[in-house]
Amino acid sequence: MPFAGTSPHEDYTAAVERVAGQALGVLMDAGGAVVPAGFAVADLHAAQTRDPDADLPGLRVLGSDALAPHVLRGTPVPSDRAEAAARAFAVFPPDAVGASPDTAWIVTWRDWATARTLTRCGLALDVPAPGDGAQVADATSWQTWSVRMAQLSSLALPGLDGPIHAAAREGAEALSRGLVRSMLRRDYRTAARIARWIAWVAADGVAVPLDLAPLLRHVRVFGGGSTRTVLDTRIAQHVTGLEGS
Amino acid sequence: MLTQHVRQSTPVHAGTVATLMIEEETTISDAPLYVPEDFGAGVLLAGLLLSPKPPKER
Repeated sequence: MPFAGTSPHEDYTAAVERVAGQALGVLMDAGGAVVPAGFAVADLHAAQTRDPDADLPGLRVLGSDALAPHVLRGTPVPSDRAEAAARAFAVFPPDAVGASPDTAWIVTWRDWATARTLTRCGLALDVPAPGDGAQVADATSWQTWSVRMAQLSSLALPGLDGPIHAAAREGAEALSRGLVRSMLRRDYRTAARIARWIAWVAADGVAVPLDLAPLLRHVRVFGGGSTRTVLDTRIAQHVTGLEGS
Repeated sequence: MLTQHVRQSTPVHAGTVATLMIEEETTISDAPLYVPEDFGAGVLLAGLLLSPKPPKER
């Protein structure tokens, strides 16, 4: 019983892992969800049949990442999935997700990416305009900047472009430094997210001073069993065309 | 339980969503553990039980 007597944070984290597993299943063409470690298949099905809203926090948190496998594989998003993603926005509207004044702009950009991805599925989503992305340049150092880009990693998808992506193109070296720093700190969650940007930049034709394949493999092996981290590494592989590694 | 949390989307719960969306970098973490060898404790215990006893002094 994964949901009995648990805090909202634990429940929402489980929902995020579950939705990430479902997305990973689509990306890996596994014919179903790739079940997170420690999460029994029976629990997954029970949670879905018992609770129709079970996936909403996961869909809201993952945003475009939950739909990215369909974009990358060129498969249509099931209509119930797209509608659930839109419903997650109704339950957790952008102005009420609880972001601090310092981080609200990051949520706005992530929501923009989700809205753009949903538009491809024929669903219109009303989200605030994200502005000119000037905040991303406010970081005082490449360390802070790369972490900030990691928080925006759900924008690093083919078909999305804007001022954040322009900053990524110009900051390929800082992203590479940030990825190496995260690896040395053994912060594989951040490393996987920065790797998403390096994959996007490399796919866009910008030279990057890193060999991404062994780094992604290392993150997947040592990443601590987080399905969300594995999803990030697999998305990065697909974006760069390294699926076989 | 989760449905209750979702439907009663209080500021506390909403804050949880923001925290999960905008993950901060972690503090320095523990030593890496190679996932396929995560059964290391069991191997050590089995080795301990199977190892020969040390010779006794007379």
